[in-house]
Amino acid sequence: MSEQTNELIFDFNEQSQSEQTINQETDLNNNNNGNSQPNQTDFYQSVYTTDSIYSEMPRSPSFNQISSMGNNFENEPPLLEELEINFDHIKSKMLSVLNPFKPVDTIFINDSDLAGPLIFCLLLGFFLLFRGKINFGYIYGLCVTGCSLIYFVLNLMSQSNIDLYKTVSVSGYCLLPIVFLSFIKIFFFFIPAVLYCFAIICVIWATYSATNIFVKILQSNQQKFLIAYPVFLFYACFAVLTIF
Amino acid sequence: MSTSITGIYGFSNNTPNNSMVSPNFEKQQEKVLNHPQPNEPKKNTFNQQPFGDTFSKSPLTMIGLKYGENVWETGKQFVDSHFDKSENMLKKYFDLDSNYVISKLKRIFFPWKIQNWKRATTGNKNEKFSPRNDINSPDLYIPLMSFVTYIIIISLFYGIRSRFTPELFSRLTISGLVTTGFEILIYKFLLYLLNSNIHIPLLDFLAYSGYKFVAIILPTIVGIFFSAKLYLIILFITSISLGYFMIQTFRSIVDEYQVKIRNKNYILLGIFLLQILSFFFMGLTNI
Repeated sequence: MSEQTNELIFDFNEQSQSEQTINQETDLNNNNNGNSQPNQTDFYQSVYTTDSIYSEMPRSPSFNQISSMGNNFENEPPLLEELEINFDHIKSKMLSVLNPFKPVDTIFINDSDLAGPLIFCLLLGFFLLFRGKINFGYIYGLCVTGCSLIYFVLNLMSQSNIDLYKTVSVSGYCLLPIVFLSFIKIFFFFIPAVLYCFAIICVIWATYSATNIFVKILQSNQQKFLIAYPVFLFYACFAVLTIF
Repeated sequence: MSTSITGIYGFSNNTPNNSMVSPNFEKQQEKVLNHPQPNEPKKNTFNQQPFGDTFSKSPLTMIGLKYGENVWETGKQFVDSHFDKSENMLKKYFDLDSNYVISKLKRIFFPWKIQNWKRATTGNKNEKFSPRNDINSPDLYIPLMSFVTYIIIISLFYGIRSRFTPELFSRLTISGLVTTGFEILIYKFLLYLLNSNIHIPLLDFLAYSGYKFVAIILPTIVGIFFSAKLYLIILFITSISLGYFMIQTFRSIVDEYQVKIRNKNYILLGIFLLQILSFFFMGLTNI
């Protein structure tokens, strides 16, 4: 019995020792003197949390992370880079969507991310909230079904392949004109004819930029209208959701 | 894809080449089974376990886990091989170009001018041409696109009358799919009555039913902007013309098999009436 308790206490000591080293390193970074006080509280915490054998389980992977992080704390990449959110890329992609008559950059092909599309979808839902419509679920459902249908059709129709991540990324970025449409509808009152014309312009704008990007990725120039039509339907669904 | 074939329905005792089990698995297992030494770093044992500490303590669990992984691997290979086959089958229906689409749309809207309805065959008797090469070949691109267009136009109809809800999208999708499925069942039944040897792929039926959605867009657009009477007249005319299209398509299919001419004519009449019925069912119900 005493041996077991000794071993248990030894394990706790081992853990708290590694935490001690981390504390020392962080203290060094923060220009504090490491004293025994934090270690004692850590020890009591570890005693408190390891009541049963199961609580030992989730701690063990973090044990590795802590021990490895303790070595590379200064070498950790910054948070945005680790999440692969690159604001410069997002901005340049937005500008290339807003100006569809410029030739398409290669930035869409090489670097596809979902941060921009996520922001646009949330923004679209947010602008719809101004008109009393809580449509976040419908926007999500439309995105999922629409993007998977586009992925399905584009892959089956063309000789080269495209992966789902890229289609969602491209479709999401080209949603920008629809977000613009929903923004305009909050503030200005249109007669229906003008509103429908404006909506058609936005949809065609979104379709045109998305088609250019898809054609460049898939390298199939003869099937331009065949690629354009499903994308047009996708943005038309969003426009209907936005206007009505 | 792993190159070692462990048999689709049987389970082999050997683990496949690209097994998900780590190479040091057995060593780790032995380490864990003995009581962990305090001086040894624990991270070696916990790094590579699939589950936590408690599960790995009994050898029976290890055997069970390995068996489960074997089952998973064979299932994955089964699904992969069938997925490739079905993907190749689907690709035939999407192999098109713009000329095919435009010509097919002309045929659906004006079928009475067309003389040649028979699908061309290659040298091998059962193999047909893809849509790119043969105007009579069915495809799945046009039905799919026209189905979504139909949904959008009906939502436009409701929206202009301020009765749109986003839930309408899912409602229309499901009702359209169920109607199409029911229609395919009726087609299969009618062709079975004619000759039990007739064997047409399911996707062909899906394509032929889907051409209906192209034709129903026209009355719906008329119904949005004009009165109900005009809508009904145009609906009737369009259903008759699509009925004619379907009759010619099925006649050319059925002619390859041995059928009595009187039966064939009755079945074709049945298909014609089915088109008119489904048009009235799928059109605007709230006009």
